[in-house]
Amino acid sequence: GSSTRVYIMMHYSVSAKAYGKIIFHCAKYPHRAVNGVLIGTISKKDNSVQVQDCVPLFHAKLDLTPMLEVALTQVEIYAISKGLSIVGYYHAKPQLDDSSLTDTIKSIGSKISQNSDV
Amino acid sequence: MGDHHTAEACYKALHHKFPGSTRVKRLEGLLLEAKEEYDDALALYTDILEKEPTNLLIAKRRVTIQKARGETVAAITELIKILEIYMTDIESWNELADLYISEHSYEKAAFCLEELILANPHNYLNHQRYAEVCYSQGTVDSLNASRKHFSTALKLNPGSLRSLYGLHQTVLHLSTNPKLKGKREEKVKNEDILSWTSSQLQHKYQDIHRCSKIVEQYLKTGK
Repeated sequence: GSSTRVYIMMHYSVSAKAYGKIIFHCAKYPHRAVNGVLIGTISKKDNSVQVQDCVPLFHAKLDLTPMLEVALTQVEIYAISKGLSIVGYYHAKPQLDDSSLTDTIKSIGSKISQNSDV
Repeated sequence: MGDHHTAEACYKALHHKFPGSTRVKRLEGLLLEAKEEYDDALALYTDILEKEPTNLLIAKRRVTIQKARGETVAAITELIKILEIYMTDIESWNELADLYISEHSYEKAAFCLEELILANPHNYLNHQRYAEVCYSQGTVDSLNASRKHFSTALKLNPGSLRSLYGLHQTVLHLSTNPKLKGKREEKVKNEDILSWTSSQLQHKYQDIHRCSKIVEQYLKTGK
């Protein structure tokens, strides 16, 4: 038979610490794209994701694999050591009003979601 | 930063003193760009280029506007035209490599970085960037090239942690992924390089207690 896709409405909360770090990361490199990983907890019973912290990654050469692999491995180890997991990814572009998803963003995002439960 | 008033005042003073100067006109263009009045800036630059077709700085401003508008393909086309005339302009090759990388055209980015290596073979950054692009391509040949250039970068700058990590990841992939095992006997075995890079990484982090545990675990993964 065919499988049905169930779409669940997820609720997200972002801590001030995570949010602040992201803003500071962008502010430090206003003319560049920046990205990083979001860590926190997932609560399956009430379909919510709590972004508690983030780890800024790069401000140059975001689209190259080697350092991204090293970073994701280490961030995962770090998250687990704090009892958290990788729950997302942030990416800011140098163009102020451009928030479209590029192929890079989609592929990194899907790689992260494949390795986690989100 | 965003202080248009002061910038305008400076520009007016310069314009008053040097009314016919192209340099001052370029500042006018930059002011327009800062205010995001891109069409006016473009018109100004086109005007200058008609009188001075070889003005490289102005030609580059056109690329900047296209980048600011997110018109990556147009920026690439424009840069290629610039490089056809100014084949040795390092800044343009760097910029073009970045644009190609953002479009995932790794082969074309590699070509640009090769030009940069040829121009400046002793700059470890060129080798490191080239190695990262090769790694991203993911084939056996490109990973072998990546290994070579991360090694060169490390030789030129032994303190480069990024090159060390890069070399480590490259040989890790080459030695553990069965699809990537080369058929010919290597002069230096990937496993030997891997144990060298692992011990180097451990050594670098041993005094930084907070990170050393994470690095230890990282070194254990993938083996």
